[in-house]
Amino acid sequence: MFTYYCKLAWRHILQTPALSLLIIMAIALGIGASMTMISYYKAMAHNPAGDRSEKLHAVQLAAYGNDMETWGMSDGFPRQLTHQDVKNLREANLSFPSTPIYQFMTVVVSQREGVAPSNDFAGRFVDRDFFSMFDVKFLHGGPWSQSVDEQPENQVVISKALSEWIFGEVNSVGKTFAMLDGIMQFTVAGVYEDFNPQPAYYDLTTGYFPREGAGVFAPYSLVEQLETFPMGNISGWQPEEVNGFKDILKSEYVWQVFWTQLDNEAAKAQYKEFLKGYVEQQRELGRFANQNPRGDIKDVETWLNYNEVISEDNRVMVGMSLLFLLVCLVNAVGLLLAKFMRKMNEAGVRRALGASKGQIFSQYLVEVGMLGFFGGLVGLLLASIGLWAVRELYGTDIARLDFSLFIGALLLSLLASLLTGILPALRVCNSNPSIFLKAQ
Amino acid sequence: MAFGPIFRSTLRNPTGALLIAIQIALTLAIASNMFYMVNERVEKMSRDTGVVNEEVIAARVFYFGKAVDKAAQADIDRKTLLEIPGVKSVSYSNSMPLGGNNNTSTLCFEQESSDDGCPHSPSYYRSDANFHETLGLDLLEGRWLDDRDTITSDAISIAKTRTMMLSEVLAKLYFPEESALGKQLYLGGRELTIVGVYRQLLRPGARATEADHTILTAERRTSGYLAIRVDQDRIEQVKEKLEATMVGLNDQRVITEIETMDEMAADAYRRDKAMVVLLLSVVALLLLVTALGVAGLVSFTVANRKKQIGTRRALGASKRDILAYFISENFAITALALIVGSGMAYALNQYLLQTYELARLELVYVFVAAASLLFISQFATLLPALKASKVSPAIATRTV
Repeated sequence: MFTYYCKLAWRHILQTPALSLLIIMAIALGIGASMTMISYYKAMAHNPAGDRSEKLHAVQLAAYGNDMETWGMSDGFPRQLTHQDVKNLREANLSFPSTPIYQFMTVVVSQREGVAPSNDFAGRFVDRDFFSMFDVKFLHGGPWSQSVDEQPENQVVISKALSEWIFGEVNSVGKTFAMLDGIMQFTVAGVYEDFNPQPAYYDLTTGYFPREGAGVFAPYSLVEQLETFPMGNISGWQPEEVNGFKDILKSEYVWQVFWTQLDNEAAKAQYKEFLKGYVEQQRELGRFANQNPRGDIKDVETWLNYNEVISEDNRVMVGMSLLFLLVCLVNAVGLLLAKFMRKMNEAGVRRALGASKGQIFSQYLVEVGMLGFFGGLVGLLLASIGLWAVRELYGTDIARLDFSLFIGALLLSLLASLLTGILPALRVCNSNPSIFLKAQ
Repeated sequence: MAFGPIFRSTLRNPTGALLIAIQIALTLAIASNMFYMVNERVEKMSRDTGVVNEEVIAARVFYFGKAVDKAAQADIDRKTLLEIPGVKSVSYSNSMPLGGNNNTSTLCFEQESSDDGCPHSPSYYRSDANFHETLGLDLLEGRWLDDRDTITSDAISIAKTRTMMLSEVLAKLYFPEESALGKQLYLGGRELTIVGVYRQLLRPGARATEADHTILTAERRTSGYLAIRVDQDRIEQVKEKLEATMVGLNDQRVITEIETMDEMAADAYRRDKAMVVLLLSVVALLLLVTALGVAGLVSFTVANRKKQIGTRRALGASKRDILAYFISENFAITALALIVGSGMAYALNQYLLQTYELARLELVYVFVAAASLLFISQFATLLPALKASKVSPAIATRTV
């Protein structure tokens, strides 16, 4: 029966080409616009941490004084930490893997002929645990050794792209190159497959969707001796004079992030307890002089939402595109009515020859479903054009159609078209066949 | 034209009319909110930077390697660049309007910071004294900064008397009743005296609100942003050669982000522009779909009423009467839908207002959207209505 209905539907579509095309286009435009916005939204809402999402935790401290009620984000925590706190957290030597992060600008000197020094490759100071916590894939070599986290050495880990740019080859383990001021020499401990998760959840303070990932990771233990200013957000709750790097290390300015890996509830509880004790201890030293001194940990999913990685614009556009889909569907209902009314007499003949109302109804729903399917296909085509436009407009590489979106779009258009088809199909099957038989 | 019969015949078979009305009401609600969101962005993008945009180039200068006497090098830079034909003014600054590296600090009435005493957090420019000349700012009150006001970066903490200029908006916020000239305010716990007020200078970045809260201080700068003012017709030439010229003078530095002010604005407003393009395309498609929908439904009604039209024609109605009938029927439906739609537009706006930080919808956007919808709806009716007017009176006799 289904194939017969399909055949009938196909014949009807061919008999009223203009109307059918209009219906397909109405559905396609609605699906195209909403799928474009939903795909973009989905790309932004992506959690690149995967199964590590619940284990990795960003650490926050309400490290402000002056008896202030609140400072920083809406929950009274700044997004970043002071150097003093990061230093203390690092030196607390809990058994959990952890790493501080901050971004620095550097000049890198290429060893290839005729290539000028460049500052296009930003770097980040991290501890060794960073690479396992954030799943950095090494092509050659590996992280620096554990001892480097305590006894600083000029060792770095660089991206494949940077290795090729400096040395003209991917495997540069053991070689040295000049960085930072273009004179200081650093040895390559490892080369990693280019690392740029989107959004860049490991450090959201320097942009959510950077086009380029970090080019070089350097041991955090070098921070105090290299005196490299951060390239990123620095904020403070009180005015402080900063004339040199030493000042910023001592200041109450926040400018670094700190991650720790807590695999289970017990570990989380233990860490929270530790933070509580730490805050108490700092308060006794005269810091954290606010009304509610406390610390907090947030896992990756929470952290992404907290930082509002998905912008208001995206939410508004998804809503608007769904409303647009609604208008398209109302439109399709009208066009379907017009289309079916033209076929009233045929339905009349079939009814007179013994077809039940239910059979007529399902026959017309099959036709609507077929229109919806075609609409969905064209809609997907429009969505891929729309997504191309979105990528161009926002200058990003994220937001592409994937298989789940492909299936989602087809299901959505089928569902939407069946919903819109109910009213017109009911009209057809409920009409009195005798009127149409008479008119023949 | 009597609306009585029209209403009665519409009510006999209201589905088509109802569908048109729903579609138009929804379209009005969506389109008016979109128009106003577009307008908000366009206003943001077209706001005055305070700078002579078409004459200014900026670049970032970053030193590395062997210790360089940066102050001496900066003097050489300024001198060499000024010799290039077309170059009118050169200065270094920590940041540029719409550019990167935003320094903000609370500006307080007293040395001790407190919530009431520090009402605003302006961005502050730490620039060569002639920065105003390079950008082409307008002086409103007092005087420009000059050599007397200039300090070197490492002497900031020991300098006794420091001076600054405020933007007009900021001066009014701090001293609404009187002139700001000669008054003292505290920046980072240090006292600064206001010597002048300029009309406008935007912040770095692309903030939507309080973008004109800026202050200007004079410092002898040696790196960071390099700003150059060039005759408009030479700007491309100078821009092209800038990197080679600067690195030629000293190769222990990297020159990046060489951009005209217009290019900086395009970068800064990228997201806003994207939003405008997306919103406008959706509005355009929305109106198109609505127009097609109305045309489709009216032709459906016309096809349905062929017999009645024939009868009316046979009873003496002219082609014009038939045309007028459909046009006024559509007018009545559209007008009613627009009234309902403007209610929905406000409801949608109310929701957006509560959920997102959007401003209240102004009446004018509803009017503009309603007027264009009325036009589109009537226009879409025209073709099927013309077809209806051509129905032959003979049809009335054929099929009863």
